[in-house]
Amino acid sequence: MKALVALFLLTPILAVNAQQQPPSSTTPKIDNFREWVNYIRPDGEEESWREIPWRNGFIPAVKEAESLQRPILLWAMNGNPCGET
Amino acid sequence: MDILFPRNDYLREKLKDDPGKVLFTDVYGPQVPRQHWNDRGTFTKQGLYCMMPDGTYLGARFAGTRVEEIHTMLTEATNRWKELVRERGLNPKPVPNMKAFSEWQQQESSDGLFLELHYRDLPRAETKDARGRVVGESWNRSTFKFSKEEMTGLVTAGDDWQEIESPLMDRLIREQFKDIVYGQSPRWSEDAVKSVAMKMRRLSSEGGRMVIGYTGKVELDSGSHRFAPEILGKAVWNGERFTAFEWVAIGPRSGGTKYNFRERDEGEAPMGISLVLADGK
Repeated sequence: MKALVALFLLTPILAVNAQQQPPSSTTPKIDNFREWVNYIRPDGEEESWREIPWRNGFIPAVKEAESLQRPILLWAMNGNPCGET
Repeated sequence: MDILFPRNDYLREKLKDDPGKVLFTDVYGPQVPRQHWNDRGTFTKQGLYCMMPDGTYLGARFAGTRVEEIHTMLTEATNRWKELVRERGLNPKPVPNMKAFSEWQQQESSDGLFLELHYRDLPRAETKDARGRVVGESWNRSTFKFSKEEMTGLVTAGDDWQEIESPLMDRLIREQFKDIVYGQSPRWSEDAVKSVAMKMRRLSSEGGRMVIGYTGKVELDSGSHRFAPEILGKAVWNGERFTAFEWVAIGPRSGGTKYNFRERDEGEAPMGISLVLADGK
């Protein structure tokens, strides 16, 4: 299990997918390769969670939050956020 | 993060006084409403948890995945925190910025080929699946590393197509070419790998840099879960490492696994995986 910890202030705006249109053929070819890569990969809005200054350790984040007088958001998942689902 | 759910006697004993376990499980945990503290009888505590540094409860959602629900929880937690700021006379200071992932990714990339993978359902006849989810809206990510020695197996100076060695591809596809768009899937068993045909050739070269092309086809079938993608890719090798790497694997998937949430959506439908450098840049 991986976990990320954020010290937060504002209510995060959660991303909603705004994918571009996909190619018509589901066979990957040279002429649709770029479009498929872009379609499958998350767009900027979907990647906005990366803009949060996450900390990778729980107790170091707790100590930091104490000194900053801020709350903690702990995100713990079996797969995301660090991959290797 | 065993502190989140010490799942056996050894870990329970080892971590009983761990400051992280004590704060999360013993101080914060009892304040969390039961429905948000995994009452499903499993050990996992995956979820989103909001708290003060002393463990005071602000909000929680166990394994929450619905955007509206998480948004509501975070809004409520923020409001509770603002009340505590007033009650406790806190003076919150700005949070220093920090790039949590770039350093880790750069470190992993320094001695091998470190890839970031994304998974997404591709358009089908219907815009929603049987569970009412919008096709293509959900996605997942993972990472995979080829060692320094392994990555040279993806390099060729030949102008003719040549096969990529099977063990190299086997490790990648068994660990990563699975359906995790909505959840988790285990690695494929050896028996589930029905066929692998992956080849490469040099497309061009200039000043010590080579552009390499890749193409192939894979069939994976466990009996209850199938994925049969065609693969196309391109990469740039500078003689020491890959400076660019992009593959897509696209094909029909069907069935499901215990935790990948494909119930009622087990019919054949297209899914795609992209693989790119995860260098933190």
